[in-house]
Amino acid sequence: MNLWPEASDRLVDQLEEQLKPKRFLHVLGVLHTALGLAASHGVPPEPVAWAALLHDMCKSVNKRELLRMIERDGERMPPEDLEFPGIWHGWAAAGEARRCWGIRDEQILEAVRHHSTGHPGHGVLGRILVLADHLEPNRNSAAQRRPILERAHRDLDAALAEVLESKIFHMRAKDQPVHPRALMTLASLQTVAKEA
Amino acid sequence: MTIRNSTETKVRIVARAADDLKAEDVLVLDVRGICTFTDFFLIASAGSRNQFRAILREIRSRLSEGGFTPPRAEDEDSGRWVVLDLGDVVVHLFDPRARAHYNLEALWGDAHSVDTASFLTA
Ligand SMILES: [Fe+2]
Ligand SMILES: [Fe+2]
Repeated sequence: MNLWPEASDRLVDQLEEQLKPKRFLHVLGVLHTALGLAASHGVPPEPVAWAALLHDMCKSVNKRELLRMIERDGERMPPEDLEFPGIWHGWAAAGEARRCWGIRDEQILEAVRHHSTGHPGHGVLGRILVLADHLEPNRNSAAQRRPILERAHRDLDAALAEVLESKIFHMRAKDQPVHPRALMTLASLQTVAKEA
Repeated sequence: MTIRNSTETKVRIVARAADDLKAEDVLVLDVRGICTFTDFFLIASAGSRNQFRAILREIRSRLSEGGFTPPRAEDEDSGRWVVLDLGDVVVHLFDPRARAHYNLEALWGDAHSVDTASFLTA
């Protein structure tokens, strides 16, 4: 993993080529926000940058191809994820990260795999990525993002709970099924907060 | 225990459907005051794939009969872990291995488990 920063430059070039311009900007926004959060929470920047750059690298790939990649790379996606095609790109990206970019750090891989739902066992890197994915500058206006972003810089878990909560209520309102892991991630955050 | 009436009815319907179809280890957890997105978790295990499907089907049809809209089906074929999100009640159906793996009970311990039998009697 001593490929930084030359390899990450190549990755940025590849992303610019493969992703739609809006998605590419999103990834750079996530990188920016994630590095800020990492600094506030004393997390080394390199793994965070890798996770941020890699997380949506398969976002433009079609469903059938995603399943093929996941299978090929031996990513063990659990069956309950099959009904949620919207999260497959995270599993495929983790496979690509291992295969093409030599990433072996499980913290990075887990963060990438579960960036759409969060995970009850997520380490700090995984939590930073879920938050940055939602709070990056291209998503909302600065005024909308500021309160929750400020919270995220002080208290990762509180901010993450808030983001997941609004996501879950939003999906319920639209009658979309919520992924079980998203529910359990929020449940575990709220339980820990309550019992701390 | 004071619960909003329709919440209690839902828990009752699901608990009985699971119990009638011989689900294993039916557990009701009271997470009011802990989780903002729901009031109760109902956890149950199914020993086989067929039983898994049968329990889900029964829960759905009894919820409809009771005037509730069962949530859209998701992943009923995985036979491993299915969540029915009823809003104030979140139902988890597991196969025993997945249940042990995710070990939701450990998240709350005994403190929040509710006497399930009270939901099974009239
Ligand atoms: Fe994504
Ligand atoms: Fe993203």
